[in-house]
Amino acid sequence: MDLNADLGEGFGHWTLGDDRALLSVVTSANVACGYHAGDADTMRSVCAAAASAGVAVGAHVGYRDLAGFGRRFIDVAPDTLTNEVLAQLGALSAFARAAGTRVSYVKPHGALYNALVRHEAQADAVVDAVRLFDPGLAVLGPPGAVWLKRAAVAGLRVWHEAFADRAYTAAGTLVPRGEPGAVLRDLAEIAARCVQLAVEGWVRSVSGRPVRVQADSICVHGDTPNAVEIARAVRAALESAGVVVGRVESPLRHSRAG
Amino acid sequence: MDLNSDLGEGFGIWKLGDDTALLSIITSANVACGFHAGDPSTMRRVCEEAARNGVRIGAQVSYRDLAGFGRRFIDADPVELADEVLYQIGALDACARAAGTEVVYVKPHGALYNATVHHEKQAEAVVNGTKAFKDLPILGLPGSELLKKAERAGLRPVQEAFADRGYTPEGTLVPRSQPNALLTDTAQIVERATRLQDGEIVAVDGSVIKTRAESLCVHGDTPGAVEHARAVREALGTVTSFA
Repeated sequence: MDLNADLGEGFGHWTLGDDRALLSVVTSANVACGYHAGDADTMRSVCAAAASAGVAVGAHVGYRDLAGFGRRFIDVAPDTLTNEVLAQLGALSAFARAAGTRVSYVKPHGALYNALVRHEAQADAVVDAVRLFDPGLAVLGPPGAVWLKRAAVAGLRVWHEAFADRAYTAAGTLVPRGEPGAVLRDLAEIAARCVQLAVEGWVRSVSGRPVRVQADSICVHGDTPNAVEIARAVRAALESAGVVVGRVESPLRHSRAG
Repeated sequence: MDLNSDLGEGFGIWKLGDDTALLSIITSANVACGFHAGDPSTMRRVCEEAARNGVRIGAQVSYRDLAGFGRRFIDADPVELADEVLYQIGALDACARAAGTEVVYVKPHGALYNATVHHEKQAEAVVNGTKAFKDLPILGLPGSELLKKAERAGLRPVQEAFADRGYTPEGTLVPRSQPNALLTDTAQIVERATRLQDGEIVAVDGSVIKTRAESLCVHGDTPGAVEHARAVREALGTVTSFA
C-alpha cells in the first residue's frame, strides 16, 4: 500500500505543514506546483528532500488561485486549463529532474480534485495535459471519478486512493466536509480502518453498512494539525498487520523516461 | 510614547504573527494592504479588531511582491509607485471605514522602508502617493529621505525607534548580518523603551544617542516577540498614539 500526502504548500515567507516529518512516513508526495501554493524555492527543496527520502514525486496541480489556496471552483476554459496543467507539470518536472528524480504521477488539488469527479470538459482538459506532457505518467484520484475513466480510455495508468481520516457514504463517496462525522479524529480508529481497507478492501460507511473501497494509495493529507501523527499511526498499523508500505510502482519499473 | 507593530500579515490560508495578542498591547497597527501580505478579508478583520481595541490604523504600504513578502528592492517607476501607494491606502481605508474608523498614518514596509531611507525618487513617490490620498502623517526612520520629503511636502514626519534592534553610535541600525543586530534579552528591550521616554537610546558600544522618536516599533512574528512587546508596554506605563 502506498501512502500519499500533500507537500510543499508554503508560499514565499509563509509556511504550511511539516514536510520533513511527512517525508519520513509517506511513500508518495503530492507537491504543489505554484498555482495554489508553492514557489520555485519550495518546489526545488521538496523535490530534493523527496528524492533523498526515496519518496515518489507527484504533481499536485491546482487552479490558479493562491488567495483561495485552490479551494474554490473556477470555471476556467478547458483549453486554458490544459495549458495551465501542462505548465505546472513542466515546472515541477524541472525541479524533480534537478534533484535526480522525476514526476511519476498527477493528483489534482482541492476544488479541481472535486470538480474532476463530474466535470467532463475539465476532466478531458486535464487528461489532455497529462498525455501531452508524458503519457507514461500515472493519474491518482478517487474511484469512480469521471476524469479517471477518461484517463483510462486515453491509455494512462490509473491509481485509486482512499482517505485515512474521512468518512464514507454507503455509496462509497466521501461524506462532505461540514457534515457531522465527515472527518475522523480518533487515531486508533483511523489506523484500524486503514488496515481493514488494505487487507480486506472495505470500510464501514456512516450508515453502518460496509462499503467496498478499492485503493492503491491512502491519502494522509498534510495540513491538518495532527497530520504527521495520523500518518505515523497509519503506517505503523499497516506494517504490524503485515501490509507492505511502498510506492505504487517501484522506481525501477517506470524508468523508461529516465 | 506610541507603540506600533506590523499586523495583518497573513495571506489566504497562510497565517503569520499573533494579531489578537498585539492589539491588546500596541497603540498603532501597521496593517498590510495586500501587496506584500494581507487579503481583503484579513484587512477587514484586523481593522475591525483594531477599532474595537481603540488601536489606530496605519497603512503599511509595500512593493507589489507577495512572493518576496515585500523584502526585496524593486526598481519601481516613481509614478507607478506613487499610484501603488495611493491604491493601497485607499483599499485599507475602505476596510477601516467599514469598521467605523479610518487610516490615520502611512508606514512603508520592508524593502520599501529601507529603500526610502536613501532613495530620493522613491521617497518622493511614497509622499506623493500619500498626499494624493490625504495629508497623513508618515512614520519612518529618523534622518531618512522619506521623512525629509514628507516634511517638505507639508506632511507630519513621525520618527520611530526599534525596541529590538541594536543601534550604532551614529544612530543607525546595526545591519542584520552583524552581531548585536537584534536585542533578544527582555531586560535590554525594556531598558530601550524606558530610556526612550527620556529621549535617549543606548548604542551597542554603550554611548548614548539623543532621539526625538515618538513611536516605538515592536515586532510580533518571531518567537517570544509578543512577550517582549507586553514587557515593553508594562514598563512604559501610559502609551498613547501619535496619530
